[in-house]
Amino acid sequence: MIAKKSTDIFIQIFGILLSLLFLFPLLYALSVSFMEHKDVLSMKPNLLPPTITWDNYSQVFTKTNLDRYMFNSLVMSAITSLTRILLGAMAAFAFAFFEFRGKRLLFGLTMATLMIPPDVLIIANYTTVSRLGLINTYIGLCAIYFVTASNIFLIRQHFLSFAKSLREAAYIDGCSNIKFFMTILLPVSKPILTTVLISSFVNVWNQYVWPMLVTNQDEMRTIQVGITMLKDRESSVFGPVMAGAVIALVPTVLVFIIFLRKIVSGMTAGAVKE
Amino acid sequence: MPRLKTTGGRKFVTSLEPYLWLLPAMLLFSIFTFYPFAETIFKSFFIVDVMGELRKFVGFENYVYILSDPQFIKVIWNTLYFVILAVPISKVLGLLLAFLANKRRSASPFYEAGFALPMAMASSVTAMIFQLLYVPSLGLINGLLGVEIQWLNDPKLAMISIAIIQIWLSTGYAFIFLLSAVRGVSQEVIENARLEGASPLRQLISIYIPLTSPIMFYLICTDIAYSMMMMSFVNILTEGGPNNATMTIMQYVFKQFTASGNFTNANPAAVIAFIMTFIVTMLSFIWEKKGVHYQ
Repeated sequence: MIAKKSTDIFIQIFGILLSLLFLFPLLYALSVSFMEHKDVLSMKPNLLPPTITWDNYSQVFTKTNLDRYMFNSLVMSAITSLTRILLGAMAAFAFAFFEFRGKRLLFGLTMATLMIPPDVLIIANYTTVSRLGLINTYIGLCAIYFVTASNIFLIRQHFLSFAKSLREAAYIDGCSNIKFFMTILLPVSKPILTTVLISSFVNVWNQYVWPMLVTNQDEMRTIQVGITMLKDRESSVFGPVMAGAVIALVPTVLVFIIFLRKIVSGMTAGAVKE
Repeated sequence: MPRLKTTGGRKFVTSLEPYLWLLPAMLLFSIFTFYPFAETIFKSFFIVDVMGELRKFVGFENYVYILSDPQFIKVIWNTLYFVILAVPISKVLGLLLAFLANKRRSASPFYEAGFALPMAMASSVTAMIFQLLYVPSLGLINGLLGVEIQWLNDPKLAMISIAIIQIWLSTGYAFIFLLSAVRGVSQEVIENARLEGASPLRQLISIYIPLTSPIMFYLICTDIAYSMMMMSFVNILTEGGPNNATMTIMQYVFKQFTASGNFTNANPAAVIAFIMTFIVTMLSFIWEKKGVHYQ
């Protein structure tokens, strides 16, 4: 019994040490963000800052548009996550509660979009967005993220689990479809919608290729694009960049730690086959 | 059903209604998925000018042209090399970590979150952090190891260095999925094996690996398709260099149409990228039928 308990403790300590080792790049970035420039790339490598300074943070806020980048990312992630919930729930509602001609076809087309990697579409989508004059606009940034098939699928699965009787009962009370959708279905689906909201937010916040493509004004850059432009590739001024990296990570890492269970259940549910 | 016994107009609304609910989603799919997909394929058969306008129909000539270009062939190999380096290792690491974290203990929320955390990290931020770690002269990795490795500047090493970043970033994702799979293995099976004296290694090989194979299969397929599209790390860290050693297929597409407006090469390259992921997905479906163990 005692032997078993000590292996248990040993495994836990080992697990924690291993996870710290695993997160080493992240922790090192945090540490560098507090280092003076001369200590970052020194002859004797420093793991921890010999003297702690806030200069990198004040520099990155005063000398660059970092606050603007953060704001742009926030706008883009918020708009797209909310639309994904609304449009996803609407489509899922049609697929889960209605019988209509072409339902199988439309559902098949929806799922088929998952087979097309968004990256192969960037040329044509870029052409469309620039023809519509949406370069350097929030709509342009959000355009390709408004709806995803995996969200529709996930929400539909959830709606299907509702007893049809719930809807029948609502109808007998004279409840219209819109009223049923808004006042009954959405409120009772809050857990799954929160999951979609959170994972969309993290996902869109972390996008890089598309936002880089459709913005060329510094004020319209998102944080993920802006962070790569805080220094030239050959420059060795890493302090402010790591301060920026830490700031860019705060929202997603916080959301991730707080909602770990929710995010995981949402993802793994999406992976399970029908 | 009292609702259906209404006037003709009411009936019409009822029958049209599901389409209205679907309209916004379908419209967006049409504009930003189906239309661009068709357009990319269609335009790949044309000479296209820098403004993206069609100039001349050439059939498969664009494909023949880029596929006989040694640089493009190298780009395809680079992409496959990256996939082979990055995909399996992150899955093996994810499984080992999941096996380690399997049993719930009081400290497990901490190391579970620790192993999973890179999932929340963006590729661009991660690229910037590894750029710092990889600095050749005084960077931390070389500094601690006491070596002078040109991580991103040596053509032989550059892709491996890029793949290491991807492995680090994707292990957490694999871990989370495999942890729920490993925990889903019935305790009865494990208890029986233990009574028969199976060592932890034996249990891993003959119980956990076969029983978690459907999830593993899902992870491998999605990650192959995802990794074939990788361009963020190379766009940030190497721009495809040195000497095109890290030029992936999407980085090639991106460079062709942004740097030189060469849509004539970019469109067929994008279609080839799509076909490659499609083949992998199909192959994995066939392989799934043969080899994977479903409970």
